[in-house]
Amino acid sequence: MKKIRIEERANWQKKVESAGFFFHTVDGARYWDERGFYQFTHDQISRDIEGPTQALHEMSMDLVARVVNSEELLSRLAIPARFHDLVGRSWQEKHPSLYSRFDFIYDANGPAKAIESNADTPTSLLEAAWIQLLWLEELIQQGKLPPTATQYNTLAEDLVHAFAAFHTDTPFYFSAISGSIEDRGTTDFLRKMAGIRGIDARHIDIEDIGLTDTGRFVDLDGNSMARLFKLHPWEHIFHERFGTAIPGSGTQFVEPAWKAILSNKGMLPLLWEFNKGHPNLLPAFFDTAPEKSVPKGWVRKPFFSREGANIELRTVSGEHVIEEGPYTEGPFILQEFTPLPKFDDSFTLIGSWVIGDVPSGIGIREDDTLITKNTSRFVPHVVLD
Amino acid sequence: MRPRSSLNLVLSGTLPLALGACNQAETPEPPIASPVVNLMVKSTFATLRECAESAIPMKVCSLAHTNALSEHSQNTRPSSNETVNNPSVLPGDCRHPNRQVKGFELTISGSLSRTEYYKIREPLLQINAVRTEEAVSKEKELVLASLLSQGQSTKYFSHPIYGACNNRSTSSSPTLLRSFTSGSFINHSSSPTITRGGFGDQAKARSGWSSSSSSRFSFGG
Repeated sequence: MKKIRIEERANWQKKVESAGFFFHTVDGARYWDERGFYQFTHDQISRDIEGPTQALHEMSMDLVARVVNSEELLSRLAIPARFHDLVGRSWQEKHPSLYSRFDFIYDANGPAKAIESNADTPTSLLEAAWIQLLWLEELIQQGKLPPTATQYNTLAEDLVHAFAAFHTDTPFYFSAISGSIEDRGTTDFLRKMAGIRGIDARHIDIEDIGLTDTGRFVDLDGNSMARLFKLHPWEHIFHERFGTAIPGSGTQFVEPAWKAILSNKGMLPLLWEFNKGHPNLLPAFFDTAPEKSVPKGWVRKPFFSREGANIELRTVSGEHVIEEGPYTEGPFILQEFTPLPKFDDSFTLIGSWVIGDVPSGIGIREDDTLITKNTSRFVPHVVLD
Repeated sequence: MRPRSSLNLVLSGTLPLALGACNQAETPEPPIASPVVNLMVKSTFATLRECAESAIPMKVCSLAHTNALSEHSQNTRPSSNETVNNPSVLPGDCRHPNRQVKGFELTISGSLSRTEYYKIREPLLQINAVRTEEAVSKEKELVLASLLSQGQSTKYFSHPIYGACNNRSTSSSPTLLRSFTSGSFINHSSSPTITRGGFGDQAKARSGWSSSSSSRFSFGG
């Protein structure tokens, strides 16, 4: 694994925009950064990323199976008791999942270590599945990369395959919070993949979803919604007014309610407890003293936090790094600190995708700090021996 | 490792992959079947004065404020709350009966004709194919003005808002909107059968945090 500097394409902004990618620049700073790329060997991908992703996915499924049968564990994960049935039933009835992403610390000098599971509302899908693929094809076409160069990226075809689990007889709604270009980029890409499968894929802003007095969820025209993809965390839904209407609504939610277990950082200590010593896991524990300062060599994370917000860490040498954010409520976990590898001046994180049950590709993020957040740059990759 | 996805696969999709062009499914076209759209606009105010200084009539603000305070006093009645004698329930806990009131939320719901509604939405969608916060806010303002001008057919609900509390397992806001009856402008007809806005509150509550561009905020991860 190495980072290689390369000249960016002329008019790259127009090129990525024509592919539906409008959040390439954030407040004047690059989010999409093609001034360099990461190069992996086939072995590094197959052995160190793809294999561990499959293993972690299987461990995660085993964890869900254990948790749904335990009121104690569901409560330990701060899932409100009134939703335990919903979560359990969605698992027992095998409600399908579309996608999830593990975040890895990896530098090719040891096993990849999973630091996060983004199983409910992962984003950066459009850029991982499509924008970096277009970049690769163009560079091969221009002769800047050899024809043997490829990517670990079957995201698009695996998504089309995953949508086969859904009927095509009624519309499938895709919802995101209004005004979020990034979230909309994700749901629009998913709609496109669903469309290839012959699904009538429609957008609705999540705030526009209606609830009838008979308990059905409806679109703006009053049509019932049989299937709803929601880019909206279950832990939010559990505390929102329509949350309690879900069990009786007849709407199939994607991601399903059992993802509330895996999108919760409390899953990391459980994963460690059930698979202690696994080479792709870091020791993690429930934080029983969140009022105390973070011990040296540990990271404190709230159960419910997104995009690096409210993460606090203390390196082995005592350096204290904290990312402010809105997720101030506990509970918290402690995870052993392992630094992100540094390439040039950037700290690098690998997001490894699972579509359905299949490891499907990676997206790479870079930041100037030890915490990867929503502004961290997305950098393309190449697989070449 | 399997061969990478083919470009042709994605390009074969029928949906144009550009946000500016992907509104086909929700392009506003006045439908034939249902003549009205049921709408709901929520506003939060820290004080009665703040409400009075908004576009909402003073009479509505005053009743909403009174109703919210009355609901709050009901919530704080010792007999109505089993947690009052529980020493583990500390101030700041969502279950604590004496949580601090931070203001009130006023919900205005009613119906607009499809034509009227699309008259509001269409120009905004043309300007911003992606619904920016600004467009959403403008839409809210216009819908509110239309609902307020409807008179008899508009309903008003209010409830108190409490400060952040520590217990995530208990909702920090009432789940049932309570209507209040007073004056000629409250209509208890059963016509609105659809309520909206019940998803997204928690995300909106967190959206003001990021210092980055408002259109880049995400609730994914």
